[in-house]
Amino acid sequence: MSSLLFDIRFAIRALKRNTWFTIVAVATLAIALGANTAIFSVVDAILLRPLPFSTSARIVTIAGYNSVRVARKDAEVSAWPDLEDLRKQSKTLEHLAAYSESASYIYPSGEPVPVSGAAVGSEMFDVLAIKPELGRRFTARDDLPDAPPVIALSHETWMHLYAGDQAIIGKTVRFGNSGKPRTVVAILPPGLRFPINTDTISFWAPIGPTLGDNFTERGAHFLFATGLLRRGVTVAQAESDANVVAARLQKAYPDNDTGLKFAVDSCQERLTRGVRPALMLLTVAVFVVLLIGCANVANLLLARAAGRHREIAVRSAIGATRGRIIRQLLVESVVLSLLAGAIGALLATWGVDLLVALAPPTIPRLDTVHVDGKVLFFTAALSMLTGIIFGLAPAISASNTNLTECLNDASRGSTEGRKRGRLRNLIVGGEIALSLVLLTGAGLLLRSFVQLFATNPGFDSRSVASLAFSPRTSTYPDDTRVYAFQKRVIEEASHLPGVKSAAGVDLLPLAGDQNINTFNIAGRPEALPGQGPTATILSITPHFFETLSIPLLQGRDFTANDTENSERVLIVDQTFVKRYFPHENPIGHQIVFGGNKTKPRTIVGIASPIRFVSVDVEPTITFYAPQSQRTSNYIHIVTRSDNPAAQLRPLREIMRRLDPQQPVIDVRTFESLRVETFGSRRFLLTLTALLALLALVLAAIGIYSIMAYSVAVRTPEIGIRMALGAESSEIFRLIIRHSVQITAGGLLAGVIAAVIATRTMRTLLYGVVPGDPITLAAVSAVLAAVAIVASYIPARMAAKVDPLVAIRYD
Amino acid sequence: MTNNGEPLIRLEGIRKIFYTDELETHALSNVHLEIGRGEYVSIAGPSGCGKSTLLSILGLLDTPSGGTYTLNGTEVQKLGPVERAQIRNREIGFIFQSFNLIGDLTVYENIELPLTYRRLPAGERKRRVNGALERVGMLNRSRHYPAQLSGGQQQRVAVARALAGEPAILLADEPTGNLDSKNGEAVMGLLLDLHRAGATICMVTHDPRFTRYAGRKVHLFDGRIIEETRDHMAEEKLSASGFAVA
Repeated sequence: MSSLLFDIRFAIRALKRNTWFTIVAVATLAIALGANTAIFSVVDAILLRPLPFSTSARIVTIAGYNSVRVARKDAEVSAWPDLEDLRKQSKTLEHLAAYSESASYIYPSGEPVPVSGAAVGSEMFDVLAIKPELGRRFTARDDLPDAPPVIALSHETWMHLYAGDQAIIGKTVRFGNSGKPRTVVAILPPGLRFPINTDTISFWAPIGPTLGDNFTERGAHFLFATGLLRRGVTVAQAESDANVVAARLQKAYPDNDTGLKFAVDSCQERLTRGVRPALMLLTVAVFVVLLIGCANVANLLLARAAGRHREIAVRSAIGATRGRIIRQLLVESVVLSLLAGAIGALLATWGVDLLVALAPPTIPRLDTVHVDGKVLFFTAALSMLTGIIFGLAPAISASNTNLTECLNDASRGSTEGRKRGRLRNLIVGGEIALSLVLLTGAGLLLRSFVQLFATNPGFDSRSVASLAFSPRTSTYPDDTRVYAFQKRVIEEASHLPGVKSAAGVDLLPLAGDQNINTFNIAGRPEALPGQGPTATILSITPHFFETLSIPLLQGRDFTANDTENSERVLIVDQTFVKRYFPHENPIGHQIVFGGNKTKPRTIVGIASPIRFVSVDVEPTITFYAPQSQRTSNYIHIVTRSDNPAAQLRPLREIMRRLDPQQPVIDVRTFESLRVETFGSRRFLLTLTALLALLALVLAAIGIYSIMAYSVAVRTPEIGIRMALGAESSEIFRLIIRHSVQITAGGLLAGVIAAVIATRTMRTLLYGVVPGDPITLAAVSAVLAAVAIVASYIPARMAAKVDPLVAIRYD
Repeated sequence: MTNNGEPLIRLEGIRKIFYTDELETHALSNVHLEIGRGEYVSIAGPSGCGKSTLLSILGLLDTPSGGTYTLNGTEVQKLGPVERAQIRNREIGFIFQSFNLIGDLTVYENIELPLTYRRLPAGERKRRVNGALERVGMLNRSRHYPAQLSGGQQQRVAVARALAGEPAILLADEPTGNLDSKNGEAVMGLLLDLHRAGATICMVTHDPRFTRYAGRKVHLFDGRIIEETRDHMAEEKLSASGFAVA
């Protein structure tokens, strides 16, 4: 122990003595360790840390899916009756609760305040093991369709909107579009967030009474569900048990439940599934940066060790074993890396703030990201490991000293041999290879991003502004009055200065909404239950296609003559036509929705396809119905103009003028929505690019230092060459050639590694394949250029060596 | 002393002053020296007398502070670095005390190195390298690295490297300084043999045992030539002593 303390004391003294070496090594490692700490903080908070519920390990998600048509991984939502049957029949779930995110209004002082919340099954708080701060949990009775309306408020809403009124339980608050009263039955503990990936959550309302016809409709798949496993039950056992129930439902309800299965997943895993590949990529990338940093420091240590042969030989001569010398050198490395780790942790606290600021809101649990004890322990452990990684090779190399040669200085006569130089070259070559892998990853993400940004979604988002609102049911109680109000707003919007056209649509493309409807083509054989085709249906007003610049390829747009009482009409898209009418004109044919329960719609037009779900998802079948015949309360008024940003305020003013009481849900430019959909990709790209840039800089420093060191070591050789008649230009080329040889080896290894490594990125790429030759060529060219630039100064130094001084160097 | 009446090397009033901080050190003062083709000149003197400085100036590794240096009919003291490098390559063969072989190159490659700077064709380089190796008796070691050779062998390789360029003059700086006496004698014998074959040699040494090989001895003291002696019988004396050339 005392000898270890002695080693540590000596190490600190040695680092103090070599100020510049210490500064460069600590700075390099601190940046790399800081980046690792920051990324680990994010990974820990999002992927590793349990959900903030005591039952976290037992909370699962349950998603029904039609196994004939949908892959398990795409399972998302279920129908209420199916979930209720599962809740009652499951032997493995202790509790089950459906839920649906919801936006509504609360009227604390008469004026509507928009709030976010969730409609939840009565067992939700049992699943989460949450005891209300005041009041009671929901009961099964609250979930009945005719149950008295009740509500649970968040602690924050209670404090902000109701001033923490201790007597609020049992009181009524006005709620929703209609402003109808609801009885407050619970105030929930501070900080409760479920669903978790929401910004703020103000209320929870029992879901049963909100379902209407969907209370019994097995074809209406729109509910998320969560459950609590019984103790000792695994996720796989729960899924197997759920599918026993699903098999019963398939038999009992073939019309709706053919192919029904349930996907049961750990809630935490499911929640983070979308970001897991990106975070794993970042974890690998940041570790690669650390390895590059280690390589740089290892090279510095090797260079330093070359000057310590005599010291090490003396230690050996007075009885130190090779193991003891290696330990001494490793202690120096670990002291160095621990110092860097401490600075890195400090850097990480700022880095984490930067990461959170850069991250899109779609990444769950971002608010829980911070540098805590666990993260600091990780940094300390990683620092120790780092010290051993970069210190081991130099320590072994330095301890392998020929005593007689060193002590007698009998190595004169020829310049330094190849062995140690080879190790340094190998390290720098490896550094270049790792940098190339990282740069290729960043390059592929960049190309994907550029391709995605350039992808035409089928409509023009750049000239469009949007205003979303949902007419209050108290003022607009039926479809006729809702549509009449919406038409007035559209009419006013179309007369705004600069507006070329205006229209309405219930769901905006790319906004993340899903709307899946099964349909049949009249006169053609009906598909088997559960196997029918599906489409997205949008309710639109006339001029929608003109406003979004979606070409109408054939037929006509909707007009004012398409009314509630006229023939039910439909505009289909080219994707539908190609699939179902490849050699026929579909206009005049009829489409039936919902298993012949509704009146058919006649096709009157064909629109160009659009990407509705996301820019990176190929167009799916989209149908358009007139808002007059399929009135949606919720509507986006869209306007087309040269300056959509300038339309946002006038749009709000229209609403204020026509109905000052009507809340506006959202006003924005469509382009901002489109750009927002790239948020996750941009975040990943930004971080990967930053890490790749860091890797490039570290590699450049590595190449520079190895070449500068090489010039220093080779000064006698350079002197000899000059004495023998070599010109400066030949010496310059000699050094550059050395750099090119190392770089070429690194690039070759890097290209092979990149081709293999980038295969794991397949799901993150768009429009570009892993190992894309253009990206590889570009990245290799950049690295080669950087290597030559980094070698330039050492090469110039070499070319200026005074042969006389060089020959006497030794 | 001269061939065609013109010395190979002519130094007139050569001075070398080193400036360090406020101190001015006169390493060489008003040195006049002529070396004819085929001569074997030794430069001797105590440590710090300016021997190595003189040799560096002769070898165009250093420039004089004043005076004129004519090599093979060309004034060289004011030439630029490129021309100096070219003259070093073509006219001068160096033999250093510490051999100065390049550890990363084989024996063959070390000897070939100056020829590559001259951009000689590969065939010509091969002929010269093998010829030089044969002359120093190291042909069988051409693929070895310097570290695999003894000190004496390394110095023979260094001599071969100096010879391969077929220089006008061989400059040897304490060529036996790092060798034991047996190897030292062998290298000196090799130089003598080269001299007998017509080589011009200028050797710096402070070891009186080896100055006897030279036909002319120059003694330096405090940067000045204080004595020049000729020994026309040097070779005969060596032969009589039974010296065997390596």
